[in-house]
Amino acid sequence: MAAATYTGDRVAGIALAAVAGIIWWQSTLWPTSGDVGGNPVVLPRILAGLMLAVGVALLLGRRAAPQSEDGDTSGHKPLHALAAIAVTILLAALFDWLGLIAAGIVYVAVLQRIVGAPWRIALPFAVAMPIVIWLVFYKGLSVPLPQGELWIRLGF
Amino acid sequence: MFDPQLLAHGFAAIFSWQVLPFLLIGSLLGIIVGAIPGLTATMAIALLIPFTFKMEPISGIVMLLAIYASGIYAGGIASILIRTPGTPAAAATLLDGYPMAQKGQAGRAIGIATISSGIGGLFSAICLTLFAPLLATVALRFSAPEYFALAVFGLTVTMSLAGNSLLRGFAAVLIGLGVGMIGVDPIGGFPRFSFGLPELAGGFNFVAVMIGLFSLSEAFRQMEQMSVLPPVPPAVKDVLPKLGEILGMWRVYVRSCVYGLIVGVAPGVGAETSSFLSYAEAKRNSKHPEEFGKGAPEGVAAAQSAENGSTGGDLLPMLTLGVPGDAATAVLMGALTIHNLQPGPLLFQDRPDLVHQIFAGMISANVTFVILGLLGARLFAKVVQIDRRVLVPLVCLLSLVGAYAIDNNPFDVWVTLAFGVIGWLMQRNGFPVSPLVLAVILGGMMESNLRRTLVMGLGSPTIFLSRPIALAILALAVITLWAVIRRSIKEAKDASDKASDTARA
Repeated sequence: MAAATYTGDRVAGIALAAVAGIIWWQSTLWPTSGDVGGNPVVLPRILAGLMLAVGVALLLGRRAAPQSEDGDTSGHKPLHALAAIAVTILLAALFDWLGLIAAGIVYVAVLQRIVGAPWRIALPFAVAMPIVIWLVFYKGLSVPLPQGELWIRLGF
Repeated sequence: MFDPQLLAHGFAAIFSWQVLPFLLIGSLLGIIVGAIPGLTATMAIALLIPFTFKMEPISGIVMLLAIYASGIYAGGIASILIRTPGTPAAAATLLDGYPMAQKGQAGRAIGIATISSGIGGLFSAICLTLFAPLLATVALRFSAPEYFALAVFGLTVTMSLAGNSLLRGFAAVLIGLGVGMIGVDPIGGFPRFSFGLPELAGGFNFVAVMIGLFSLSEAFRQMEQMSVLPPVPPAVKDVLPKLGEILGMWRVYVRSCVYGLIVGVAPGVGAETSSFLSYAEAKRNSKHPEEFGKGAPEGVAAAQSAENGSTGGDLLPMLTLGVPGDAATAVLMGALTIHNLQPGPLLFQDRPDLVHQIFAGMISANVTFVILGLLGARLFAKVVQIDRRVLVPLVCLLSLVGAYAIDNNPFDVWVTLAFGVIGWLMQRNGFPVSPLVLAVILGGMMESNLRRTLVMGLGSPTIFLSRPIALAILALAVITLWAVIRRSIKEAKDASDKASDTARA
């Protein structure tokens, strides 16, 4: 019996075909008069064509699902990764406003709890690490890091 | 050309108080990161690039080189102690390293691994020092057609990184080429794919992309798989191996160092391939091949010396031609670029002092990790047990902080996050990430040099017919592509036959 198309391949195939469409549409908006340097739309359109072809091949092909490194996916928890991504989106939105130290403490603590670290380990690390990063990189190496608009407005 | 006097000045610069601490910090960080399963040298380099902005270029570059060399070595520590390779390259080390540890010889195995990595790394760093200036002299004669051909060759070899599915690897390459096209047209100067966003007018920040793909995505992947804590490693004692034992393996070292170097120079393959190749050769040439897999010290020596033997070879095409051979050197290339140092033959012409400092740094890094590795073996053995539930969130925070620090720009944080999610989705669905990164670099190089070639030929591609080196490289690219496709078809057929046999049985 032939293997069914793997869902990941199907999604990737559709995504590639969509990107190919965007590339083609965008290339219609560019100046097309070719000078000695060649027509600027040619390479992007070749790329779009290849993306479409590979996208269709992924959509229709029959490849097995990828194997985990240890061959066992029973212990995998994709919800942990999805929760981490959601928290990271929140951090990215609040990073400039809250600053490294405040945002970092909450972020590290929440991520540690998501993956099951006990409070007694999570809390000290969550508090210490952003402060250490701040001291080493901002104070020690003069790397620009967000101080937090909120704290600046409040006069800290 | 190689200049001994400049090299001596390079060593003087490395051992100055401005650079030496960063060499030590880099080596220490590299060993720690390499020893922890799931964290790789590539990830650590990508994470720390933004923090080297304010450093003197040589201090930052030496720190990253030290992380690279010691990170490759330290992957073997976890292989030996807990049967989990610290880095993918260290998978061959566990074949004999772990059985040695099971026999109560964990310290001896780590000692042999450390010395062997040092021998391989030192050999490859010396070869890099001697051969890179020669290759750069030849490459000075290269022009746009040759660079276009090199980029095409690099892209075809990149497909060999695709692993089990050529189509998925090809898809990753195409995504990378698309990402590389965002920004300004290389000849016309008009914006492409910026969708009216001023932040995209110059394209994505490459360092932010790399941090997302190599650090954040890996952290998300680790979070998904973090169900069990690592086992308790065995006791480590008697680390320093006997001189006679090391000298007795000289044949293994000669073979492994040469294999490592050759495999390293070949684009698309690196430490992972060289260690397995060298291990197989050591077993084939051994008087006692039956002992391999049961704790043969030669097995550990062959794998580790070939792993680090490939590091200098990996750096050779990146430094001399600006063509990265693998993911780690692509990240290192990004590090050089942010310090306004464009890898390639002109770097050798314009900044021979800095190039020789890099050579001195690479040689010193390989000696430093041996000293630290032997002195701190017991401590590093405990590192493999570090609770990843604490460490991985820290990697996430450092990724975002690093992305912000590149340009003090919150947009780069979003770029890192987006590529972190893309990288995570790609990895969990069997799409390799490294070809994407290499295609971003090589795609830009390919397009701009093709357009320049056309300008040189007044719009005619027949100019390639008058460039024999470019033609030869393009022919090599076609042969490589054919070989990659052939291998992929054969593997698919073998897998299909095996599946049919199983179904029949």
